[in-house]
Amino acid sequence: MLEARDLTKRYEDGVLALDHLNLRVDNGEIFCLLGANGAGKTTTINLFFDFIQPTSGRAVIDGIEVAADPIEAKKRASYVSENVMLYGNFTARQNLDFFTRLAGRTDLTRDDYYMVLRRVGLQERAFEQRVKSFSKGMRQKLGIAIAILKEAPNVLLDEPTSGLDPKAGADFMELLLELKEEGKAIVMSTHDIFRAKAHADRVGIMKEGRLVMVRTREELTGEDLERLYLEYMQVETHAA
Amino acid sequence: MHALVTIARKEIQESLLSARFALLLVLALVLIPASLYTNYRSYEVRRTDQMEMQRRSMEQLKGLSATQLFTNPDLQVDVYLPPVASSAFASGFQEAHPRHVVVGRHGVEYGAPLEVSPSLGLFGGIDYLFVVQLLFSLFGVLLSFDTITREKEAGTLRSILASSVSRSTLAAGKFLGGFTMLALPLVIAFLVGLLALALAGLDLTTGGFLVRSTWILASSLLYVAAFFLMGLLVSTLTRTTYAALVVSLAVWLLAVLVLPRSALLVARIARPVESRQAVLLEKTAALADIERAKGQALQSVYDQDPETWEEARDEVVAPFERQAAETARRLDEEHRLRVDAQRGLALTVARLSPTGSLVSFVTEMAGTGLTAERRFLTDAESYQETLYRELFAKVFMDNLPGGTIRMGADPSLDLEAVPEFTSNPPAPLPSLRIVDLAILAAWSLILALGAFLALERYDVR
Repeated sequence: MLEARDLTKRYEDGVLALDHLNLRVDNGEIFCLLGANGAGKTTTINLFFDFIQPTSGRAVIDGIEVAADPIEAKKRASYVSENVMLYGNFTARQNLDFFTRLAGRTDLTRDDYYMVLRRVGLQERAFEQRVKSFSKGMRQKLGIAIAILKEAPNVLLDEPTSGLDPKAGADFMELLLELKEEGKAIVMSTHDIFRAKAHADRVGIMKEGRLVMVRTREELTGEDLERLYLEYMQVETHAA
Repeated sequence: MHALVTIARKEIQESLLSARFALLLVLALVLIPASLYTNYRSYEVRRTDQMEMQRRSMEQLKGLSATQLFTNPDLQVDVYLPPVASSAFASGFQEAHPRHVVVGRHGVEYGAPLEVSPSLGLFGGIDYLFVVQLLFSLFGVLLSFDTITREKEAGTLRSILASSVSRSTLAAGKFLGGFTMLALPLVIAFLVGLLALALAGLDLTTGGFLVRSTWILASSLLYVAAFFLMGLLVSTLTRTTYAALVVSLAVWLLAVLVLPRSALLVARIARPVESRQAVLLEKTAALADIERAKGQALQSVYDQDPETWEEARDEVVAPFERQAAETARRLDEEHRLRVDAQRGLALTVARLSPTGSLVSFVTEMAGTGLTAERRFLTDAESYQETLYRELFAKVFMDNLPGGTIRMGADPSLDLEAVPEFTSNPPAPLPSLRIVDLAILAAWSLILALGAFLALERYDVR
């Protein structure tokens, strides 16, 4: 379970990146964060991984406050970024081995790695290929493979399907749904309104560091999310 | 612990594939064994030459005729510094100062430089110390300056830190892996170097050579660790790899080349010391005054009774000769104290950089440091006192009234019995310069602490 309690981040230059965010995502739920660039989506994820310190408020993973015990908290969360960054000179299996070991999984064998690489849809010949020759889609698959093997109950994804071709994007979302079925709490920031509506249990819209709208899948039935999103953007802009 | 080992292993794997590591390995494997081998051969040549020159010097002295002895009041004996095999590691002061001194009636003077090869003086030689001091410190920085910035620019830093790894574990793993890849070429090249020395004919088991070698290697590892950590610290304080490279090279330049060389400059300004030549001139003038006073004293004795003045000669002359000896000793001692003070200050300033401590420690261990030079000069001064007693004091030349010079020798003078110079051999294991090791360790500790703290505050975005 992922929780943000009055989570606020103001940078040294005075920019308020996140303004009293309150959010709770339960196990087995996909929560999609929509919003323009600079709305605070990535800042939210950064705070859950202790990449930055909150100005006030708390990010909590499975009851553990991130700022108080970042190592224990991060053991319970996986991270998939917009561009999964891996070591180009290492093979897919070597990258998998490195990052899962860092996550504390020292019990995995080569067969385990191959099994998960098959599950995320990487072709066999890519297993022992250097990652620098991988397409973005292949890298994202490897990123989700790392997240799967970490076996953390929470997953945070920062625009993971951005730049993927439609087939790769669809495959990626299928994997995400599998993780949801396994009971993981999932937060995904995205610009992809259609995928958010299709797959999320709840959708939130962020603007200038604030969560300005949250709708459940049921509430969105029959709604045009794109129109809703643009309306919120306009309202906010006019209000500003 | 798993995370630490995993990160260290990844660093090692990455380094193994890098051109930087390959270049370092090749340079180390060529330069260290080659320099140890050639410097050891130079040592052998020097030892043979100097033993021969020392023997000839004594032969010339003992072969002097009575006339030559009496007519040469400035009689001098050449004394040569016995070289040590461990000078193969570091030439030390032997390259900077004459390796032989001249012992005379009124003290010890530096002799002319002894050259093994003229080209060395022009370009400077390479020894093990040079390789570690410059090459390994540079590669220490080059292997670590982008440790963090590269991960940040590649985006992998976020991936690592998202994997429930603490930043201190990341820094420790980076150090462990990176330092291993820096230490490996050094240790391998060092061992190959020892093998080269053994092949050149050196018995490694004698004279505490292996113990000295071990300490030299240990201090070298501490030194390169400090520079690796310096690069790591810079990497955690900068945002881009380019900035890290520029800052790292500037710091390296300052620490390795500028600061140690500025130390003597600072010491010369703060504690100026006149040259030995100036001291020699001052001594000569003072002794000439004493000689004149001695002549006047003999003149007055002669004036009182020209027939019996010779009987009172020794009594009249003795206080002047004591005064001359004391004056010469005092001037030498004062100069030596001023030189020691200047060197002490220079060493203190030089130790502000790890390079100063490394040079001090390794030259001491190699038997070519300041202690060895001081011991050589002290031995030469002791020898001068012996020669004064056994030779110089027994040969006299009095300036008599009317411009007459009277020369003579004590009947007990026996040139064959004049002892030869013997320098106390260096102890098998010279006392460790703990302060230098402590400084090197302190540098590593401070830089590691700085890097760890800076990484804790590092903006991962």
